[in-house]
Formats: sequence, structure tokens, C-alpha cells
Amino acid sequence: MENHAQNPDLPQEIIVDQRSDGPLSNLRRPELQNNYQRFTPIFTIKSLKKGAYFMQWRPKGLFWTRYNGTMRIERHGSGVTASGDFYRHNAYTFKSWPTFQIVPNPDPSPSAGIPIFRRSNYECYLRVTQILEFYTFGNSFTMKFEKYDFDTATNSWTNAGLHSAVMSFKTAPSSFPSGATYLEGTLKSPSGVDLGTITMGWVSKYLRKASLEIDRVSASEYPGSNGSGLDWKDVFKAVDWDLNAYQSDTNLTEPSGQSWSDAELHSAMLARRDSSDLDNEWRYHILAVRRLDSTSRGIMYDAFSGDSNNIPREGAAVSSHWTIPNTNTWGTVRGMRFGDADAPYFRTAVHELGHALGLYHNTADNGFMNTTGTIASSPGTFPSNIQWSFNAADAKRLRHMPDPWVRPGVIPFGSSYASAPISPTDAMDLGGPLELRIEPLLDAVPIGAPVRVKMTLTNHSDSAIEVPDHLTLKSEHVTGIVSDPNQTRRSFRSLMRCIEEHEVTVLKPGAKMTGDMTLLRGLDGALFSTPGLHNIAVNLSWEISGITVNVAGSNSVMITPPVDDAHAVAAKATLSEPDLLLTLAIGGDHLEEGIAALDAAMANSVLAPHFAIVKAKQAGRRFGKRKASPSDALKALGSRPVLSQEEANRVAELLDGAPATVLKKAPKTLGKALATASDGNKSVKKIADEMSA
Amino acid sequence: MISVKSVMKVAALVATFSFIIGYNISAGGREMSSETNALIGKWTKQTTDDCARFYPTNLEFHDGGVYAAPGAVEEGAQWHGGDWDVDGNGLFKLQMANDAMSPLNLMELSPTRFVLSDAADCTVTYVRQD
Ligand SMILES: [Zn+2]
Repeated sequence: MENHAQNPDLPQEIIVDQRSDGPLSNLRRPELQNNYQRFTPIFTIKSLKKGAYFMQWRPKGLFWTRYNGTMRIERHGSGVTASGDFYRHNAYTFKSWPTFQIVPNPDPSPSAGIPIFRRSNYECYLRVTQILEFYTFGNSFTMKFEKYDFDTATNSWTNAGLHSAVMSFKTAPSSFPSGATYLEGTLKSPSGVDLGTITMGWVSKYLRKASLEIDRVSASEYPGSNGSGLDWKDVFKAVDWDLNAYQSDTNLTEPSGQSWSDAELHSAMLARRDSSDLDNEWRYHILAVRRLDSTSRGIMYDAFSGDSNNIPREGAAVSSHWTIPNTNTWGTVRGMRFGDADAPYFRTAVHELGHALGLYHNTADNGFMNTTGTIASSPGTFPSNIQWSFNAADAKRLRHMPDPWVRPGVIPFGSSYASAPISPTDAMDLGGPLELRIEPLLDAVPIGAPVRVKMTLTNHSDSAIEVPDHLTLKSEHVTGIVSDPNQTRRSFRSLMRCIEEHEVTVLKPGAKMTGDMTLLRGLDGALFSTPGLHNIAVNLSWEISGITVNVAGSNSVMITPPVDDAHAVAAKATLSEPDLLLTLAIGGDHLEEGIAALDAAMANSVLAPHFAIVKAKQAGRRFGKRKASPSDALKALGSRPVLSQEEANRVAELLDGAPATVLKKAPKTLGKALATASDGNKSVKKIADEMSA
Repeated sequence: MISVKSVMKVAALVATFSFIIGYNISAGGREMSSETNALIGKWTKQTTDDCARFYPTNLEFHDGGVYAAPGAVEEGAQWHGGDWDVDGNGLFKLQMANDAMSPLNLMELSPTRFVLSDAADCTVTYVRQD
């Protein structure tokens, strides 16, 4: 992620409604709407709305069969995680005698939110490895996923390879919610074969939805919240689940006294739950009873031998009449009846539902899937040391494990996590449409020397984008911040306010442009004044049709300490003289203090190669009555100058027209240094060749 | 405290015990048997029989009645950590992945190894790591 475009000034979500009059008429950010009133938009910015999408794949040449499913798109700090599941769908049913008709089987209605499919039709999981991460200026992006085919006999997945589709933004059919993002593309097999059409349209801001029915005996409390305002809805909203939890029966009969066996729990669930169509609803069930035979606090009994109907993970139970041990371990709830201790009682209910959702114990933090005993024994006072959220890995599982893992009635409890696929956390191999790569010319630079940095701007999108015509500190598009080893931040920007014209150029899809900069001082003094690792963060900013576009990149450079007293003295001169920056940037003989610092650096063998080009430019250019001297310039360059590509080009300019006899006197290593730095520039190569001749 | 049904289960299991120590000591704020103290520490599974595949490779019994099973989730074991106890009757309880306190028989316990057996007559040996 280090060099990825970060687009700080753009909203994460700009929804382009192509059904409306203007292409940008429903931007959700008022400040941007104002921009659009002032400028005529000539392009659109599109991004993927987070949430669940109804997804359909119509295989090429298959009239009867298609695949319906959902795609889940989650946004987080480091980008996007996306995953999907497909279920077989017969588009038609053939009715035999007496009608002999072909009757269409309707697809789910997108306006009804997240669709639920028949378990027996489950086909495959989509492990999404690439999708639109931030925004695009074009109308399409490439989506890539590994298709994991499911074997119902063994409950196992097989990777059928990396599939891809170029997805284009389209107008959503009217059956979708207003403003829904809608995409269409051609699905390609790993070998590039056309597999048919794939569409996806946004249906919900949630990723998954389920119902939770809670039945209880009259003596047991309803575990509805933690007593401090956190309820089921909140807990699951935090992982993008739309959970409808509700209390149903409140007076269940105890079959054999206050304590329930696993078998009794299971039969009570079957007998008393309000509905049981797991193909139409992801429905879970929790029983609150006084006591449990198998354990003290709670159990997800619908596992192992407790799953008597072979439909796993339908139900769990909590016990309200377990007495919390009267010891210090149990903090402020010691000695209490469990049902009276709202916080741990509700926590256990969430924990048991977590097991029904296919989650296992997780001791990485004090979140929901750690065990009560482990939390009570951990630092802090129980129950205030409870973490009221799922550990990040469990939250990811709830969002992105395959449907059969999470929904009730498919994968049995207890299978290894590793047996099922899950999408990578950052779905993007590529950053946004534009990437700014920052590369120091040298990984290590001696203290006192300037740091040369190469910038590369790449267009990863499939459309041409207007960008600044040069990547250089001489334009005001480039700004940056250097953080030293003590995390002190110093900013830098162009000295050349408004000197250069703000020309723009068009960067074609897949194209790159590069530029160099030499960093020494910024607005707050010397940028690299301490030995140690420095971070260089660069921001490139310009306007396209009135919208400010930002692309950021960063990298680090090591500043090495003085090697001896002479180096230290020279470094002090270069780091403390403000005018040296001007000497470096524009040259000339008039900046006496700057020249003095430059000469101090040139007199030191460690720093001289790093300042050689500055001295060479001074000598190689006419100033006032002083004539340009190619031989002085050559002398200043020495045998091994440190040169950026841009600086190598300057050398070629300085020495252009210099007599061959002068060039021949140049050290062979200089020719080599020039050739290396030039990266193929012809005029530089010509000079370098003459030096080597 | 204990239902009639679980007492019957316990009685059935106790009959198969070969090693029972009857006295209790108090430690860590709860009743602890001498087996409890003897089990504290890190153990590694030695049995490679197929029936033992659901038992975690590593077990760490801590004072205070909680245990950890590092790597258990990844290897598909059915004990992932939680509560543990050896009660006064020598019944070995270990919180399962679904929170059931499944009763196991502690067949043998020495400073360097212990042997457990389950209802399916699977016998599993652990040896002390240190
Ligand atoms: Zn549990």
C-alpha cells in the first residue's frame, strides 16, 4: 500500500446516477456539488458503494441454467475486501402433463434487499483478488477472483482458477433501489474463454442478514443487551450484518427439571421456533434456560453428537442460574446469578451465536470469541475488561467466509478454518487509477548531502487522465513532507511560485511519466539534518475540471552519520546555509553565502560527488562577464558524481559543443556515471561515448 | 448444583477410572485437586492414532482454571481453549470448541506425562514440554 494513491480530497463514495440529467448530479458531498456548479464537468468519477450486491452470471450458450448470488464489498482503512457466492438457478421449470409448459422461475427481487438462496443450489465462492478500490475516471475496471467450486458430498472447495471480468458501470434496472451502482461485464475463464455475462447491482448497505429468535423459560432473563446500551443490532451492525433479534416464547416448559440436556435443547428448538425455512432465511435460535447439563454458562449444542437432525449450527443456549464463583477472578459480578449479571450474560449469548456462525475461540483479545473464563483470568476487572466487539479476524470471517460456512445448515461446526477459502483483506493489486511511486536515487546518503528522488506517475485506469506535464519541484503541483528519525516533520514545496506555466498533458491508460527532484531544505530548514531513517512523503495535486485531484506516494532514505571531522564540518556548512538551496535551484555567482557553502562541500571528499553537478552548472554557465567554461564544469564533476536523470541531461547541455579534446580528458568513470544516470537519453550517451573514446 | 442426569453420567465414567486421588486443596480461589496442580504447564500430544486427531497438539494448563491450545483452530481440533477442571472425583473436564465441558477420563498422571481416554475409548497420551 505504501505507494498507492490515497486521494485524500476525494470522497470515498461518489455515486454516479446515469439515469439523471447530469452525469454528476447526485454527488453526496455538498462542497463538491458547489464545485460542479462552478465548473462544467467533462468526465465522471465512479466508485463502488459498500454493501451487498445481487450478482448474476448467465453462462454463454446455456438457456436453462444461470447462477445467482451475492457480492459483498467492504471498505476499510487499507482499501477494499470483497467476496461472493453463487447458487445454481434454473431459469425455467418444465411443467409436464397436462400443461406441458415452460414456466420462468423468477430471480430474487433486488428491491427486497439481500437475497437468500437455497442451500442445495450452492455452487461456488468467489475469492476476489482485484476490484475497483478507490475511484475511476473511466467507466469500467477489471475484477478478478478465484472461483472455488464447492463439493456438497465432502463439504470441500476446489480452486477452479483466476477468473476475470472487465466490469462497466451501467444504469441499474428499475427493480434495483434508487441510485444503485450497477455493473456488467463478460466473465473470462483463466485461459481467457468467454464464459458469459456477469452483472452485479447494489441492494443493501449491509453485507449479510439473519434472524435470531430467543425463547426462554419464565425464570430466565432475556439476554437482550449488555446493560450499557449495547444490543444485538449494534453488535452485528459493527460487522455489517443486518441482524433481526427478537424475543418469542417466554414460558417454555422445563422437560426434566431446571437443567437441560443437549438433546432437550435441540428438541425444544425444533418444537418452538417460529419458522424453520433455512432456504429462505438465515435463522438462528437461542434458548435461555436456568441450567445446562453440559456446561455452566452457555453452549452451541447444535454440533458434534448434539446435532441430532444433521442440520448444523441452528441453535445455542445460555443458562441464567449458574452462580458466578465468589472469587476475586470474577470481579464486580462475583457470587452473582449469571442472569442478573447483564454484561457477561449477554456476552455469552453473543459468543454462542458466534459459534453458530462458524466462529471458534479466539484468545487474541478479549473480544466476543474469547471464553468467559479466559477473560475473567486476564488483566483488568471482570466484566469491565470485556471487549465489546469481535476480533478483527473474526469480523472478517463474518463478513467474508463462504455462505455455507456461516449460514445455518450446511458446513458442520468444527471444520478447520483452513478448509475454506476467504478473500484477501486488500483486494487490490493496483492502487487507484493513478499511482505515484517515490524512489530515492541512493538508499543511503551521507549527512549534509542533498537527497535525489525519482517520481513515477502511472495510469492504471482504462481511460486517459489529464495530469501535470512535468513531475518536478519547479511546478507547484509537487509538495511533500520529510519526517526525520524523531518524527519531526518538515515540509517542502517549489521555490518557483508561478514561474512555470501550468501545462497539462494526457497520460494514456497504462502509461507512466517520471521526474526527478533534489531535496535539501524546506520551509522549516534542512530536511535531512540527523543521521537515521527519514520518510519522504510526496503529494501531487492538480485540478481536473475544477476538482482537486491528489495522488500521494512515499518512501524512506537512510542518512548516514559523519565519517570524520572534515565531513562533519562540511555538513554543518551545507545544512545551516539557507542560500545553498537557491544556489542549488537556480545557480549563479551572486549568492555569496550559498557559493561559500557549496565550496565547503566540494572541498570534502564525502560530499563533493553529491554537489558536483551544482558546481558544474555554476562553472558551465555564463554569469555576468564571466564566460562559461566546459573544462571547469568537467573538472567540478570529478570522476564519480551523483546524478539524477534530469541532472545527467543538464550535464549534456553544459558540455554540448565542448571540444573533443576537453571531453577526452574526462575520467572514464564519469562517462559511465553519465550513461547510467541518463537512462538512454541520446545526447547524454553521445557525450558519454566521446569521453570513453 | 449437579443434575440427576449428570451425576449418573459421572458415576458411569468413574467406574472406568484407574487412577483417582481423593483429596482437595484450595488454590487460586477455587477448589483444586492435586491433579489440577500436577497438570499446570505445557504439554504435547504424543499419540498419533487417527482417533486422537481431534485432540490439540499443544495444551497449556494455567492456574485459575483456564487452558490454551495454541494452533488448535488451525489443525481442526475440537478443543480450542477455555475452562478446565479435574473435580474431586477425578473427572477431567475440558471446555470443547462449542463450550461443552466434555468429561474425559484421566487414566494416568505423572510429572512428565498424562493419559486421557474419552467416551469412544480413544486413549491419548500427552508429555510435558519442558
Ligand atoms: Zn465458546
